Amino acid sequence: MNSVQLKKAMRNTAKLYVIILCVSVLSLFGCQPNNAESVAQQAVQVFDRQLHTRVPMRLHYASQSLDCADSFTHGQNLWQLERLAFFTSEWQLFDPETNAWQAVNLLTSDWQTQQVALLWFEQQCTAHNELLRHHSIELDVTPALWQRATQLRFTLAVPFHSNHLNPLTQPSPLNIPEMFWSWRMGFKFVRFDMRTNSNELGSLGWSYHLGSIGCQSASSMRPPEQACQQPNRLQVSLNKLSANNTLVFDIAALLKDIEPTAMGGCMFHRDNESSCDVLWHNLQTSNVIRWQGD
Amino acid sequence: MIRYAAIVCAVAAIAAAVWQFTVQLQSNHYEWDIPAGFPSPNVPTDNPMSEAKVTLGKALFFEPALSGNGAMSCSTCHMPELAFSEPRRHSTGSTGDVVKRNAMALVNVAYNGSLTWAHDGLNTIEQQLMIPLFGEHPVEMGITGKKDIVLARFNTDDYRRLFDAAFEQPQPQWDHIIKALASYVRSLTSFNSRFDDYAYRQDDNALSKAELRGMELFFSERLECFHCHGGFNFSQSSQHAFQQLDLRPFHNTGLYNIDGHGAYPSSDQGLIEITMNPSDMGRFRAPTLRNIAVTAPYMHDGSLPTLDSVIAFYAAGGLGAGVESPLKSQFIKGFALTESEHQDLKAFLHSLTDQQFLQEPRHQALVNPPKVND
Repeated sequence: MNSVQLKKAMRNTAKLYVIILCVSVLSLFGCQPNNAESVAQQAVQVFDRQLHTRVPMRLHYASQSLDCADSFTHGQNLWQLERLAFFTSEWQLFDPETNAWQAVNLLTSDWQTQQVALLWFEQQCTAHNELLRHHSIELDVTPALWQRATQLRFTLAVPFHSNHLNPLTQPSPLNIPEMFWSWRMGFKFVRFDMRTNSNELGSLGWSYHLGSIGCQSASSMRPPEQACQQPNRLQVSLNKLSANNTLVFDIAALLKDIEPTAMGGCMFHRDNESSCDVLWHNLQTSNVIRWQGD
Repeated sequence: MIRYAAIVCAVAAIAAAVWQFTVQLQSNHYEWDIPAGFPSPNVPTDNPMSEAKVTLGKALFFEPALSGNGAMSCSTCHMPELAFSEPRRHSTGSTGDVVKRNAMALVNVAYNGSLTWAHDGLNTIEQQLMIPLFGEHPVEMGITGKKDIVLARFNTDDYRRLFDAAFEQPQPQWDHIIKALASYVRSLTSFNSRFDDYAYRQDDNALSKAELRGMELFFSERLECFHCHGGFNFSQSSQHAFQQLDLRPFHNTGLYNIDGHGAYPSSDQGLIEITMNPSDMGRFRAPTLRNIAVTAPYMHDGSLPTLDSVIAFYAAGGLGAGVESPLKSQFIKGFALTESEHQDLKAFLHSLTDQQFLQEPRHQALVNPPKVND
């Protein structure tokens, strides 16, 4: 290395030193101790936004799209949704390029961990006349893979290994009391509450709460060591042939052959809850979750 | 030139690091009284916790000079030995005004997603404190119209030292009084009941057989208690480091139905008074059940005197015409309990009492409080 090259190298090193120092100063003058970390997190989020795929979920009664405070008629009565919430997990896409299923992570937020997402619909409007809600799934998958995938599947449940943990130490949404039964039983995978008001019936509430049952443990505050007798985890499989990216949860399909005013709801606490079998059958066979337009 | 820039940057970096370290020391100087495993509560960014603020807030909390006429302190209605609740149905303000609601216990308030019995817009203790301090309908502490007089009472050597330690400004001011009071209330955490020993510290022998049977009843779909009193705080309205969502935890329990359509007495109709939404008639927040055995009477208006009456109320699915209220939560359907089941459930509710919290010396009034001016 001659003297000119040496000087040039030293100058470049000095420039690099100045850049590193200035970046350090800028990060330190971020005012709060966690700012450098939050700047880094924002950068990750921006990065994610470029790579992630958002899958919207709409609430329907048959072909009727339900928005804030909308009602629907079922079995001669007008019903209002109080809440529909459900967990999904174990998302997978079938990639025709590799001819294999590919596991998909979720982007973390208040409504999602990497493995589990909570969808949330309420009739109650917020001050801005919007539903209190989480109406979409954010997948950590490139739009390119999403476009070429030909099949999609996920589980309508919380996996066993996450279902019975201490909610105190779990990240959101695996610590929301509204969806938690107990350590023994774990989470309600699906929570559906609706209400009707009529002159004949007065006010009548009706609920379907689905989760694992037959779980054995020392008490409701102790987790089961083995799988529950009825895990009640349903895998939803959908062909993904069109460019339509919006999923629908169809209340009419869920309530097929259910007359709520005659049949009680299903919360798995009485022996005579005849609606439980019908609802489970509907979830398995009636395309309750499908692509919009299908 | 580059060398000079590098030196300037290096000096600036060192100065920034020192400044940042100082800020961090000031803002983080507080040790939460929270057992291992429990999440820390959210704290407003403009009022970080500090021991000095909690010390000042505690002195103010027990100080009658904080009311307009010097007749009452915060602790008049929020008594430490009763988990900071009071045994009367209704509170009474400093000038004799009747407050329409029963004073809520101050237990783990730092975790509340919303505050008071029925308000979906009060999200911080700092906001909520404005009501008892400055409210005029009814008058509680009665400070409105006497702000300067009250403030002058705290312009003493004792309080100037406390204000200086907490805010680096010795002169008392209202913003600092509210922030100190909020910090003190935020510091009142309770996680040492025998239920906590059993559930979260995994002590299988912490609860009696009757209490365990009562716990199973409490968490059963048959009784539905946990639908509204869920989560580690036995109240749906809990937010903390791992949980930021606010899911509107207000419920109509069927306590009243004076018109057949679910109306509550005009004296107090709950959340509807804030939202004007008809479906919010009679909706109130489910309070924490921690220390519930010492916070009688119960319900927003203190109308149920004992835990026995509360269990009987929910077993009946409401009270009187309230049982048929069209606005009642669908999870209050009523249930049948044998006498022994009733006693088991009550025993479980008693196991939620945190004796350490009730007897904690740091929660009691100071023997020698800081001096105030007459």
